[in-house]
Amino acid sequence: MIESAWELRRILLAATLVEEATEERAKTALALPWNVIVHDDPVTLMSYVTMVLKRLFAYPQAKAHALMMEVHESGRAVVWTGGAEEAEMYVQKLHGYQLLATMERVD
Amino acid sequence: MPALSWRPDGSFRLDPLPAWLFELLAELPELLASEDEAVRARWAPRPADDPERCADWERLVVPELFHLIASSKEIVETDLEAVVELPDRPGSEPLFSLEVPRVHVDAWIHALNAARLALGELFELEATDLDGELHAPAGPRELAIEKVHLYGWIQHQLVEGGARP
Repeated sequence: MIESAWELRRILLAATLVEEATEERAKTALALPWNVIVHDDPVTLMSYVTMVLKRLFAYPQAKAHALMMEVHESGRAVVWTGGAEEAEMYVQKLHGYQLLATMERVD
Repeated sequence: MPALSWRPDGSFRLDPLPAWLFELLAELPELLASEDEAVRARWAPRPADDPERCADWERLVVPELFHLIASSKEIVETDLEAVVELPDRPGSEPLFSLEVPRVHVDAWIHALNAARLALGELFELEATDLDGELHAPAGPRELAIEKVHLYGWIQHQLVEGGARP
């Protein structure tokens, strides 16, 4: 039971601090970089994957080819790293090209 | 054996197509209209492990992905309906010619890719299925592999051709 106006202010201040800490953690989480990952599949053409990486990320041929080979040989490759919103946009565009793509927070 | 020829305006022609080959191409719209659950899951994969992000994705992004496939299907259908029989072949088996304008090339790349993925899911194809030599199709699965190779050959020509200045 709240016994004084001071105690009420103390409780409200504690609640505000908790809320601010939660918001700060959320902002920090969003600020952490995210990896955009392309995964291998048995059907998609290697030339198509290279084309998509060049078109979407403006990578030169050599880099796009190297990433495609990493997908092909390792099963997956990190093709881009950055903020969450941009990572979502890239995953959406990669899905538009029908590549298997996901986003993961950088460790 | 058909050849894919590029024109200076960026359009291409694929011919001569024997009837059986044209019929395989004519199956593209049906593949792109697949209602198979595994096919549609492959066409719209999950973006992350996060269930909340996936729920938003399902609501906001997935309809757009299927709209893209439907648009590609419409364009491919239009071009297939315009296929013409090559003239001056009296008494011979008919041969056909497919012409695709430059503005449709990306849609064909998209459609061929989606169709290959659909076949991959419908017949649970693995990389080892697609690495072997082609033989005369003995059944539906082998025919599916033939189609994956055919569509892949065309798609590769279009991808490489798009790299031309």
